[in-house]
Amino acid sequence: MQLSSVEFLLFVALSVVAFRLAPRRWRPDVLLVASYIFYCTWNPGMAVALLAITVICYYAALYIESSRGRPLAPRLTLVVVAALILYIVAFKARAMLYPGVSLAIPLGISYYTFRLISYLLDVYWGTVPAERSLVPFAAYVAFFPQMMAGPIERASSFLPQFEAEGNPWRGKTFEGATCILLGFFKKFVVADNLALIVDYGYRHLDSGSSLPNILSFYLYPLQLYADFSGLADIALGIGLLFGLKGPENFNAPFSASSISEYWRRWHMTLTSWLRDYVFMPLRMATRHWGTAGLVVSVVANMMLIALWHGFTLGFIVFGLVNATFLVVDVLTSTRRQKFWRRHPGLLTAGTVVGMLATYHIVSLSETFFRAPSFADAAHLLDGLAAGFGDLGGAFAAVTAPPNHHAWVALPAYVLTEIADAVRRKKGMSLPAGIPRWVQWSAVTCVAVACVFMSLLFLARQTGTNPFVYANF
Amino acid sequence: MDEAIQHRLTDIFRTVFDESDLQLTRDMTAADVPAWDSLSHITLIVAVEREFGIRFTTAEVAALMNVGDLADLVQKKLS
Amino acid sequence: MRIFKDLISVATVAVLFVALLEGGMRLAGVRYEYSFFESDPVIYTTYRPNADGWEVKEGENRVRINSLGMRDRERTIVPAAGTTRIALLGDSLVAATQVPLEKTMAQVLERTLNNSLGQAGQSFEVLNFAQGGSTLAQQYLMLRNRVWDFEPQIVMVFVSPISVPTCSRRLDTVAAPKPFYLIRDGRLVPDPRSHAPASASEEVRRRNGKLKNLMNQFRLLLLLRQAIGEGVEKIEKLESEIGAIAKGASAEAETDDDERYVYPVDIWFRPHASAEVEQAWQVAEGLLGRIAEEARQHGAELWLASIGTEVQENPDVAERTAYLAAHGYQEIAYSEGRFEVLARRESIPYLGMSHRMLDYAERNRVSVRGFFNTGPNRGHWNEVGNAAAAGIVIDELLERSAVIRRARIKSLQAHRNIPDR
Repeated sequence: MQLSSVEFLLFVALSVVAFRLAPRRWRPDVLLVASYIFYCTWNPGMAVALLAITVICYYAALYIESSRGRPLAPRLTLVVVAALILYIVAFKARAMLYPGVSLAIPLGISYYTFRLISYLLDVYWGTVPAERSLVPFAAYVAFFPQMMAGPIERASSFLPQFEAEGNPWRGKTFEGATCILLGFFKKFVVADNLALIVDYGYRHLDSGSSLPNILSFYLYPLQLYADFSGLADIALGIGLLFGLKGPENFNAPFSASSISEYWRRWHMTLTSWLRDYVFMPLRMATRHWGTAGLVVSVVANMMLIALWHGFTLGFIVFGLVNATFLVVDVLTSTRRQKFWRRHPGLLTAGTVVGMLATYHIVSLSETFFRAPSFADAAHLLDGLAAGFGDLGGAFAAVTAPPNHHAWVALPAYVLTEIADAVRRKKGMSLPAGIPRWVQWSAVTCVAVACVFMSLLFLARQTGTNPFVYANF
Repeated sequence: MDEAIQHRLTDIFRTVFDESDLQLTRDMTAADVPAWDSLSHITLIVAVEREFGIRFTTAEVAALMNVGDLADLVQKKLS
Repeated sequence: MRIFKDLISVATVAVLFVALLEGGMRLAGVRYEYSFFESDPVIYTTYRPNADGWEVKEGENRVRINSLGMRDRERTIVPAAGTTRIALLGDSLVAATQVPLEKTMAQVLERTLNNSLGQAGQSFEVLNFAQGGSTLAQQYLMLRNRVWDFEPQIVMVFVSPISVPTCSRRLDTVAAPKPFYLIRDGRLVPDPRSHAPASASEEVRRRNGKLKNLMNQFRLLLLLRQAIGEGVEKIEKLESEIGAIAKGASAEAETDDDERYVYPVDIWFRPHASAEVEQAWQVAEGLLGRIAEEARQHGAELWLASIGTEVQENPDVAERTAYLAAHGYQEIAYSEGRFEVLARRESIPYLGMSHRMLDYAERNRVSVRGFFNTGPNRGHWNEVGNAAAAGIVIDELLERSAVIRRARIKSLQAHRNIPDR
């Protein structure tokens, strides 16, 4: 079931209504059934696999918890986690060896295996109690809004909300609907239009002008952000309709003034997952190796982020570029902090330079992420210095139909940044104490927008570009 | 927290995070100190290990939620 | 009282928000299908006079219907003295709403004729009576009821892959209401089940016309119309699928010649043994015979031209031959051969466009079909295709048309100042 279809909107509406009408005892079951129905519309065979893996991990966690202190605990943990890693690696490798098989990676595999691994390790370390009942656990693993592109939520944040008392969705319906609308706006108005320009650049690497290359180079990070954060907003919004508050995946990534800070603001659930389950254990193991230990941990962590996306040369180079700059950043950070303390007047200028430098590093690494091959990436980068050539002609070519309305993406992007800023500071729910007509107006506008969006999906003019992160 | 442990931990925190007037409380976390991130966390752990002559396991470190937990763990290791 | 004021405020905000959505759609260049048609008592569906909108599916183009209901320049019914008129009948390929009016085959033809032969006080007008989805029955009725008023000396009927299937109610693929004919006792008769739609009455038509023109002004209304259309289609599809499952039937076509599942392209390329397809051919040939009779009665020179499918005009050899081989088709379709035989029987000149268009495309290495939003070699003729078609038609007219030969002689005489004999 495609995300941008009327069928999906109806499915969400029906699931939410069923969930809210069901008595509290049956809510986990409703959510579980809904999630599996959603998964089966993509791949019934893999739904069975998902169920099997879920059941295995459920029992494994219970055994691990009950045998804490005995050698069985670490051995069982190791075996199951290794099996899960093998499972995900096998699918990623198959996708790399047989490219062109669309959706060779079954839906959500990167997301639910990571949920399971984090859960098992948390149980092993004792930071989370093993879940006693299978249904809420299975609902957590298969939670359909987070199946397409995350966020990767931990059991410790999901399960307690699920089992909470009372009416969990009070005040969250408006927030949820607004998040979903914002997400689709980011996807269809910003990301898809930027994609037109970016794709043009990658299809016309020999255009004789550097203009398309420059546009693709600088606009792709914005496109990826709009696409991915849009999808995250939709996932969070749907969760809110169920009364479940999920983790944020983005925190103004382009305001980062260093590459380390960028990675603390981008795809936060993945980076925090790797920090807690890879970086920290690895750093602990190498903590007496001095600088070498630090470098090894940083590089390994970054390479895993890259390889999580896939095993192609493009992703590997993406990882290496980031790793290199990360190491430089980490090794010079104390010296830089001391410098800013001695010259506080230069701090603003320094921050701006840092932001620009970070954006360039991101654009550079994402060129390898986006380009269909390493050669194409090099080609694009080469062309950046080529000189504008016939600038007028190049501009006309880039903005010719079907790209003649793509410029809309830029003001639209500014709007989404404003919306994101409001969301970070105050959240998207209606503040208390506003006059009644303002409250009703807001609700009416959101309702009208939802109807409008449904009409758009029904009329089939949108939804031809797949979400980028649904392929991971 | 034990007074002696608190005193020595305060010194370590102030050195590692380069904040000369940092005051420790039991429920202080990384969110309360700007310089405290996953990288400096390990520097902190190594410094604590060296200062008190103890060794932590990964599991123990992963379970730490706040400064209070750290102080308790140090106490446990010393006794 | 407060609640009343509050409701007014909310309503105002809602209206402003809707205006914002409309504005946003315009800014983002989002368009949906426009309304160009109205009901008609004789041909059931026809272009609405003065309709104004955009073609959005192939290319993006402003389309205006003139006050006489033609996708053409403004025309007078009575011709000016010394004007030679060529009337074109056909479907969307000839109406060519995907390209600007001046780039259509009809207009290029008109300009070329006037440029080369427009001397000695004679001028040419190419009247475009073609309409999207137009069928042979509609073209016959249009000829009888409207076209002769314009006194054309030449009438050109363009048949296409939809011409034969739309002669049969069961094979018909175009959704709009239309009149049908049957063969009864070897004679062509109107289908007694054919009724003009209720909305064809003068009053209803005028009211609907106003509403449709209003709708064409607002993107939100067009969106609503298209969304409702798609929604209804989805529900119908779902109903038929459920019905099929309930009856235990599979959704696949049963046999090759099962008339319910024969597609127009297949009918175009291959002969079919099924009675339904043969009936459709009889009706098509009958209607063309009637058209020929009409032309003879009015002393007009009639031409039969056939336009093929997009694949027949695809200069990409690999793609074209792969498609034809996969379906077992020949480059020249069965229908084209049959139409040619019919033309000879009626003693009218026949013009097969497809292989000539392919020739043009291959020689000049261009795509004659396809637009920025469809990809190359798909759909209708683009500007290059329309120009190429006009060139082909004019070459044939110059070579084989008696009317044009007379006009040429007149023009040469004027050149040499030789008086008429």
